[in-house]
Amino acid sequence: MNDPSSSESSSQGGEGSSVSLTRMIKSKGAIVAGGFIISLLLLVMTAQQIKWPLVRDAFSSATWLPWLPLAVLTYLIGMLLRGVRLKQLVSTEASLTVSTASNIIAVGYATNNILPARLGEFARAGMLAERTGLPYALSLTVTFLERLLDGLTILSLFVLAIFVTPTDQWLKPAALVAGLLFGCAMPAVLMLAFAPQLSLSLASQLSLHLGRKWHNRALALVTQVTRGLSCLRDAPTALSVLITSFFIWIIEGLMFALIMPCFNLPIRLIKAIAVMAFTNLGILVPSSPGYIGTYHICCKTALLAVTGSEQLPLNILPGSTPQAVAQAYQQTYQFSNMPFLSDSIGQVSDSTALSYAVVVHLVFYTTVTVWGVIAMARYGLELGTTAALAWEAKPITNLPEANDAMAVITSVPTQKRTNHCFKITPFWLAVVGSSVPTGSLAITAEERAAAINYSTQFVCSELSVLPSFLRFLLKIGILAFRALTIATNLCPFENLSSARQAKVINAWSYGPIGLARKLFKPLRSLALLAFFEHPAVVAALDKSNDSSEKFKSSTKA
Amino acid sequence: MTAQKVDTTKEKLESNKPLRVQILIIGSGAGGSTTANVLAEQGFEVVVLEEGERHTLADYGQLPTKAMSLLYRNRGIMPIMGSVPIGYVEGRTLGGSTEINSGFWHRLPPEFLMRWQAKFNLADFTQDALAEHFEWAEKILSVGLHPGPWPKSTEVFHRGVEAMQWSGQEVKRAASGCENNNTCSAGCPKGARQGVSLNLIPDAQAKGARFITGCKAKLLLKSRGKITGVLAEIHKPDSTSDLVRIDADHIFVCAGPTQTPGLLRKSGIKEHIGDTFQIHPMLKVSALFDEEINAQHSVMPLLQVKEFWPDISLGGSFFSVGHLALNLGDNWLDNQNVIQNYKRMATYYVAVRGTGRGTVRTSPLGDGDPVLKYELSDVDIRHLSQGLARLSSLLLSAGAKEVYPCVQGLPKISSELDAVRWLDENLPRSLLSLTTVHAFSTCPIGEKAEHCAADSFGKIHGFENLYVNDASMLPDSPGINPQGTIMALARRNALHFAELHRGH
Repeated sequence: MNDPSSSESSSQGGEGSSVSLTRMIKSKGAIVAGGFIISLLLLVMTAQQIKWPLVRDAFSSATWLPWLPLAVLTYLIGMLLRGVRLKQLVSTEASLTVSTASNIIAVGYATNNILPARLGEFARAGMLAERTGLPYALSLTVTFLERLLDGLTILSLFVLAIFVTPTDQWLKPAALVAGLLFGCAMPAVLMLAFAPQLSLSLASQLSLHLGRKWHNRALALVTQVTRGLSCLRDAPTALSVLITSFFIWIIEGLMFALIMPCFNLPIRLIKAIAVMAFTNLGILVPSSPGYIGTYHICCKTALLAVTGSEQLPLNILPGSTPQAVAQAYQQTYQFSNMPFLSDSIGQVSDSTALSYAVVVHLVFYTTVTVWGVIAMARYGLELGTTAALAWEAKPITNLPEANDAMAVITSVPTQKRTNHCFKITPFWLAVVGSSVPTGSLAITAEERAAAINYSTQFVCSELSVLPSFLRFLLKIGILAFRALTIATNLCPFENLSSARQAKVINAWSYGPIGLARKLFKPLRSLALLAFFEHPAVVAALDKSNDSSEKFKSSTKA
Repeated sequence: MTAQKVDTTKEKLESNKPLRVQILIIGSGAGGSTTANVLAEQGFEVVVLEEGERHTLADYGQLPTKAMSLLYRNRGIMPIMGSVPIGYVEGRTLGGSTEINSGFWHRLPPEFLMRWQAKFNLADFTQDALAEHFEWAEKILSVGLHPGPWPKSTEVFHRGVEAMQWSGQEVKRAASGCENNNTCSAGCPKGARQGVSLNLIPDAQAKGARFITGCKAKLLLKSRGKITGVLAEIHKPDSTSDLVRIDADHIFVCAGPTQTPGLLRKSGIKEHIGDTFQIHPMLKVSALFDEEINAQHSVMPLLQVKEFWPDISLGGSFFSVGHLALNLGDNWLDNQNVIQNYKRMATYYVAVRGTGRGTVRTSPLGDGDPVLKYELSDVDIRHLSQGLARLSSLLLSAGAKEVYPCVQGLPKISSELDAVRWLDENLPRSLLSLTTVHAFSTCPIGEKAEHCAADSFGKIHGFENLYVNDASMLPDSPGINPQGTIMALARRNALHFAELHRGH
């Protein structure tokens, strides 16, 4: 089932990897070099401000158990949740187990930690394509979608956390900017997800004057992105993906929180989430592999900001009991009359904050890198092959440029038409079964079951192609029907007796309420059409016709 | 040779090579295939994009439920919204709706010709001017009367027409050699009913036109009053889709009455596009006779009553056991046992020339599919009520014992007294179950720019190289099966185009 091209690239990985790496470094050279320079600068800046003896003290007085193992465990749970989300995102396209999905993500993260320029994202897409047989372009789009969801979730958590918990004043404008970004990004994402045609038209209009090459690129990008976001058009999937995303990052925040007590800081989830969000937003700037330097300074700054270091001239040394710190904090902190008081941590020194950042980074870095390397080993991937996969996964943004007048702009996987949003379930079988005649036909139980199954399949596939607003209304109507049935019968519709089911259906289909009649009219019509087209039913009708004819003639005789 | 040409085009599209064509036609139904045929014959380089697939006769004639997913747009689910939702179907296959319609053929009645001329100021639009185009199409499609004896469902209807002493006639069909196998709506597996995939399309291919199937036009690319090309999505066998750009000198949009305005509006062309959606609303009735009709094994009734035309037409409808059940479904609790007698039943219709107001708009969500709306006028309700009274009277006079109209809560009609009630009363609007297979007028042609989307020959106002040439161009409801009018007008417009652009 694997894509042949992916197998080919895998098999040639060893040979092609050096070539790919050369190409990669050539094209990404500036970003890679920039990342290293930024990381180095930040490391130097941090190192210069640090009082190293205090850092040593912080580490020596740290309480590692049980907090560190708990933090690692929490991070692992977060990775599994990421796997769950990836499974949800590709559920309509391919089957993927949670463990494979988590491994794919771990490989991506590990590659990001080892190779520069966020090549892990491409490696992840490459491995997803290889494991599922999905085309590279779609895998890359799914990876992009994951990152987009991460970005939006982190932004929203950051804004929420900053406005809920007391922080340094400078963080408020940062949160406002983040909120603004979120406010702009969200409608764009929604439009790309739910209005692909409108997005394409808009992209075409906006880029038409930029020349053919850029017009084509814009159209290709929008087509790929809208295709990738298409899984969000199904409301239940979108909702579960969104909820999982929030869980992932709240769990990540919990990991940050669980490291706090290592340095005698009380566990404060909201503050930890703020630190986590700020750190993850901060590492978006180019940096060295593993975000060394960037990660540390972001984490340290965020921790200092949420603990109000600027407001308090106190220098609470590492080793102070949390109660003592909190008490001092309560007495002097400007938010002391606010309900968030209990959320306070107390001032943290630079050295403690840096120590905290180092440990958080180590937990994240080591855990995921070890997992990723194990996963690579398990799936027989070498680092070079991963880089090759990463390279192969990139044609989405590297369309052939030689011919400006090319006909094919981009290629995406066709959306499966079999993805019915109304699926055959016992409920639908019961609805169809009670909409068609019960005992009057000379038909065996098996034949009847086959005819009802056929009709239900037809009904579900037809309802699935209703215009979206009608589909939405129908879903609401069905939800109301099911809820009312449970309320009045104390039992789901599908568990009622056949006679009761027919009674309920008839009451809705032919009762005095116009809305109920309208709801059941298309269901009944489709069910009857398909049921009476079924050869077994037509044969049964013919049989009963013949016997009634025979009965008539024998009566006459 | 033809297949080679088709492959070459696909190859070109798939190999990233530039593709520029002289004439690009979107849609291969009655309008599109006529345009392709005529322009290919005139020596133009023609490429046709068809969203549906190419099928062989072996694919035709399946169960209606299967045919719906194979040959119909949106699996046959295209509701027209309004206070009374109306079921509408159209084809989505090479040949468009001509592959699944009844093949009934009419020439545009002179009365309508004059009305349209007066109302829309259509240039060069006379009966004489159109006659040669009708003749051309009739010859190609072998239009004629039913080759064999009338089926029983037609006979009983004729009996009713005679009893009522109304004007009725057998309608010509594009179905030479019809074998009464009752598969018109699922594609005729015998190739008797002349969908254009059997004649016009192969002929056009022989003349050099290239047809690309599985290719959906998504957007017209426009620049300064000119269409420069089309963005289209091509479905490939390897489960991928290519977004392709095809540049063209001239573009004919012939995607049908709902998709043509949909594509134009999606592309930002909205002036008088989709504002005047017209249909022929139909009310079906099922009639139970004493004698065996066996409508499930015969072609639909071939007669139409024109006594009350153009406002009301009476005729016969496609019949299958499933469709009968669907029609009886409005009052299923009372009527379900009647289906046992399906061999003694047939289905007929009242069609009215819609006078209500309809629109075609594109949904802002999803793929921007057209959203169809039509509000029945009071006159439509009146005509439907009178039509039901007259059709029921006719069927009862023909020997029907009971008539079952598709109106929820309305009991069966078993006497003329029950029937004539509807001459004076109106049917309850909200309880009607209506359908239609005729839609048009979404891009009306004519010189009156304040009403019309395109000029008398289909060129969209305000654009140098964009044309419509399908059912959407009919300026108003014609009150007849529209295929003949569409093909005649499409040929007239294509020849006019050829005359203007020959040698360019």
